Amino acid sequence: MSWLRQTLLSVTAAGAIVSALGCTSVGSSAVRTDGMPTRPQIGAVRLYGITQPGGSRVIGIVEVHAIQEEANIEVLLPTFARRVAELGGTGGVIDNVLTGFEMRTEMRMQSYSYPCGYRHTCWGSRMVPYTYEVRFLTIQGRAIVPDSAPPPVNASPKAAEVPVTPIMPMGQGGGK
Amino acid sequence: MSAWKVVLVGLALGVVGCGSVRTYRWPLAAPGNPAVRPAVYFEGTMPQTSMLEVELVESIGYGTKAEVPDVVSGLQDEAQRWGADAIVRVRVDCGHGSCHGYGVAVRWVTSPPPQGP
Repeated sequence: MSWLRQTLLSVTAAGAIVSALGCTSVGSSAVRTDGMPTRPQIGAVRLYGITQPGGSRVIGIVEVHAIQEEANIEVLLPTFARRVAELGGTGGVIDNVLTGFEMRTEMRMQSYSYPCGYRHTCWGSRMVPYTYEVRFLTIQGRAIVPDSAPPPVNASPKAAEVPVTPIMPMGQGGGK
Repeated sequence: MSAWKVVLVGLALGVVGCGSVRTYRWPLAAPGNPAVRPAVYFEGTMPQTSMLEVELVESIGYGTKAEVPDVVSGLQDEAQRWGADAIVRVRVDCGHGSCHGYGVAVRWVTSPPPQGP
């Protein structure tokens, strides 16, 4: 059984190292909603916590989220500002800061000892269910630009000029 | 050290060490001088006066500190340190082992609102 324990320990250690080095729970999404193509800007992004300032318009929506230790504003707001800038916004209005909790259960390896033979102790390992609480944080908001920024244009300006033709000509089942 | 002293020290450490409150902030304006204890306006109520956003504040209570009063107090400590007059849009959500609070610390631009929160 020692080779099994060694293998399991190695796998567990490798998993811990990988999770410590490379994995993050921070995720985000951003969508431009004014029909303009995404045009990142490299300047600073100003954040607003209550209302949208006057003389500005919304160009898109942004969402960022994380769980557990990373679920705090000092981790998430830099990502929020970066996604606003990627959309081309110069400001971000925070609409919602939502926290949730959920219980998760996963199987974990547990070692145990038991008496065996004459004054001997044997070791074994088993999988046991482990339930814990996960806290997640989601920040939702809007990307804005000043009214003086270039106005949105129709993404497909020729679309309205193209006459609409039925798939099948009238008289052959198409149209009314 | 006798056994009962070890037990007492263990109990004291257990009571003191099983709860904590962590605060986080995101500055939005230059800080002011710490003054009054900031008033708290929960989400849904808003003071009727002009205000300047000072910072976004967040407080997370763990263990024995995972209670609404501890989290709100953490928000007030953080906001007061940076000279805020009030915290608006305060929202607190609690789970089994932790409690999360968020708000926007503000400073009155003109005068305080006529009535409290």
